[in-house]
Amino acid sequence: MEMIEKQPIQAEEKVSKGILFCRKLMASKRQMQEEAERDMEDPRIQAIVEELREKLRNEKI
Amino acid sequence: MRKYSAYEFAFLGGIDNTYIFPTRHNLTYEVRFKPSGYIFGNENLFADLVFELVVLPIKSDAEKEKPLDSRLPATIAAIVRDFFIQKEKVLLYICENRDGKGAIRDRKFRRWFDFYNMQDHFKVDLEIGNAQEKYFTSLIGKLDNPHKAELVVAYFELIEKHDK
Repeated sequence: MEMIEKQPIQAEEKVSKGILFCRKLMASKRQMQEEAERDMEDPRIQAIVEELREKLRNEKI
Repeated sequence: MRKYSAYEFAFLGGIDNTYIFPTRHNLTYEVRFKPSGYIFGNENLFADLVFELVVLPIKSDAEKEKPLDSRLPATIAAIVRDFFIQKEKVLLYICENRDGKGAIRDRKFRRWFDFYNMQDHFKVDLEIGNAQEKYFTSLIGKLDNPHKAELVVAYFELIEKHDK
């Protein structure tokens, strides 16, 4: 995999803009966490997960 | 280092391109690829190609202790590969750092990617912030992405220009 080394953003102005960008991403992530919780209340999704669990139980160890 | 098999997963679809899988430790995870046009600005040339990669333990499981699970990184790698059929796509990843463990999560995430043979991918890591508020972000794409250079530039510009 091609890697580009971490480049800390130094300038004060860039830091604050970068942080705002990250806060937006984190807010989105937390919203998705709540949606994931609600997903598990959906009987269709519960059935899918249960089917996957059943397959997992039947896996050869 | 031994490679472990992925858990079987299901694609739920939806706006966030959601995948779901349970683990042998009775935990359930969602992996989402949320379109990020709203961050880039929907008029941006690449708005339709950028997705936030999010790995979510179901909240009721979030408080549970999570034993080391060697199949978890294999499963996430398999899901990322499944989603990456379109080579033009790129992913944005950010590590949670509210508890000060962001650097540990970031290292773990990088190890997963390095280990699971993602050699046909590129990854740009950016550490953003200061001692009080620090974030670990990555931009991930396929090496043969025809827009790779422009996307990396757009990523840097996004962070530099993001002021709202």
